[in-house]
Amino acid sequence: MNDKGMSEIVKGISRIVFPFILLYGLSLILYGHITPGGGFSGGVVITGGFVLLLLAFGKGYVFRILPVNIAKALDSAGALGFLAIALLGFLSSSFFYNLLPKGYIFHLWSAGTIILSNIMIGLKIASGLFVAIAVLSMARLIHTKEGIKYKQSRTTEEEDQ
Amino acid sequence: MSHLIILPVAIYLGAAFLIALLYKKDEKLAGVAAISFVLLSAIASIISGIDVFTNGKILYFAGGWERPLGIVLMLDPLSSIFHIMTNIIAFFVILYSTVYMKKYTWTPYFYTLFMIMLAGMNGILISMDIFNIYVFFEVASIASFILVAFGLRAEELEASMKYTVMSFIASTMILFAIALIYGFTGTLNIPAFMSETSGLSPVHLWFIAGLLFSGFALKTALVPFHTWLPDAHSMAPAPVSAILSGMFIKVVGLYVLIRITANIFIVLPQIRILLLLFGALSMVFGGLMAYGQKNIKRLYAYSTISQVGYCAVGLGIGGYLGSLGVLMHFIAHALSKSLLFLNIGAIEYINGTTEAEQLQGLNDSMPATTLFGSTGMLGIAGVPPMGNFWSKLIIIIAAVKAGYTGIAVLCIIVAVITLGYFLKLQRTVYYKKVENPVKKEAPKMLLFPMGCLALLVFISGILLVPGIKDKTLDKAVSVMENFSYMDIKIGENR
Repeated sequence: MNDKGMSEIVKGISRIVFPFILLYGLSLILYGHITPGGGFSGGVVITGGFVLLLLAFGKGYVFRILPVNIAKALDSAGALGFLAIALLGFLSSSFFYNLLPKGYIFHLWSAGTIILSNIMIGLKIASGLFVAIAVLSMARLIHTKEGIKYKQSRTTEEEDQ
Repeated sequence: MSHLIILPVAIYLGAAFLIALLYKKDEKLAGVAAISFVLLSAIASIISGIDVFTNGKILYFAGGWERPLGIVLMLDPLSSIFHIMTNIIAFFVILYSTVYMKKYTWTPYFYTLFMIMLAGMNGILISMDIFNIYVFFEVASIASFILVAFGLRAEELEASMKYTVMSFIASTMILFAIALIYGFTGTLNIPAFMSETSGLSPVHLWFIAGLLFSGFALKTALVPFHTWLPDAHSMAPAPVSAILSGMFIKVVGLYVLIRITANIFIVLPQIRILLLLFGALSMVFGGLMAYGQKNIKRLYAYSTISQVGYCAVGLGIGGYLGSLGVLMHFIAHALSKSLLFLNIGAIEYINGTTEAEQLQGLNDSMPATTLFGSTGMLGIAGVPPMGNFWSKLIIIIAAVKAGYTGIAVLCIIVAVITLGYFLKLQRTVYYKKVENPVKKEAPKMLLFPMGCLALLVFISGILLVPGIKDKTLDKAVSVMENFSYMDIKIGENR
């Protein structure tokens, strides 16, 4: 156990709560088409879980679980996946056409491509917001005698440009 | 249904994230990918443009949801002109930036942002749904904020911050207007909303029109709303300035203003008086401010304000000649202003500065750059064979015919001022004699796009030749003059 981050109580609680936050986010994404929620809100909740870990354990721990490079790749992949679902409509009649079977109402599989779109949006939002927060966490304002200085640390990101 | 109309947006979005995903380490491959994707969508836009000009407008229903439920996408001759121009200029600009952007870091992300901005611009042009226009407007704007600050110097960040704040004021007003439109009429579809406008009370109508007008006038940089433009356009990297000044403000500003005045608020002809007023103001103010500028990029930025003023004046005059003048002036100015920004970028690439006093006698050291630069300058100043001369002439004739003699005189005075500041610039920067000139021409990859654009500037007047005008500009003018959405029947694809 390293000394970085907050006290042991916060760490313990975060460790217990984190899977539930993730689960809630996933549920928001997967049931977005039949209950309130959807890709965006679910993605934000998932990022919230990672932010909790980041605050409790420090950024080194979080970047070992989800490296920023992988988050960047997931971000682009989510966008491309969403576009691919939209392009799938070309097979039938038009852009964004919902050509998968619709299933039964109020079941998990009940809206054709909407659930896939929600998953892709969730992926995109969760990883994109995570990258934004990771970049913010690497920036630091240092108070010196000359005034406030801005510093960008590059220690946690090995070789990303 | 023809999928060509949606393809440019899809290609640009896909290109943006493909480059970010696959080529973020390899600048060269990212550049090649960007060029090929822009070329693809330019071809798509030209093919769909030919279709539009021969067979009339194309309707497309996103997701297969027909009107009035779904989002209607439409390409008519008016938007098709903007669409083709955007993609062609973007192609030259992206060719140019493969070399120019070498002095910046993170070039693949430049292409990503550039593609997202182009996707937003193309999206605005094909939307027939006012909220959809707003969404694409934000997509394009947010990408452009980051592109302006791409160099990450303090001045660039400041310019971008100013631009961001002003732009968000504009989008707040637009969003508020859209909320009111939806509240009063229950629809966001432009044709449906247009047919409802006569039922609204004048106060509501004026309030909505005022909000929309100020929001989009801020993006067009008409004079009381212009303060962000000189900073943003002079601080951005040269390719970004070229697309921002050449196409961006015309697509997100002027095009939507044309739709608002000519197609939506036809029951409110007084809005044209506002345009005339603000247009004349920006024409004169931009021209006078440009005259005193020391920095060449800033001079070009003020010149953009002045020339967009001409477009607004033409739109304000209305009628066949006014509308024709707007379109012609938009085409000629888009070509020549993007040429000029690329040109100053090449000069900066070699000499490292954009200050007029430090650049003397470039004709001896960079003859080709000088030639293309002079073509662009004479083009904007309105020297006869080029398109700008004819467009200014048409706007002046339209003003005289409509009885606005004062405006016509102003137009002539500003044309003289424009010629004045460009000749002043040319005399020192290009044609001053210097001792022992060192020949250091810009790289070929920078010269080629400039050369193509210079050629286009030179021949842009050809669009007004009777046989060609009937097939292209006249059709777009008829959209602006007497466009009725009633002729589009539900379920019809054309």
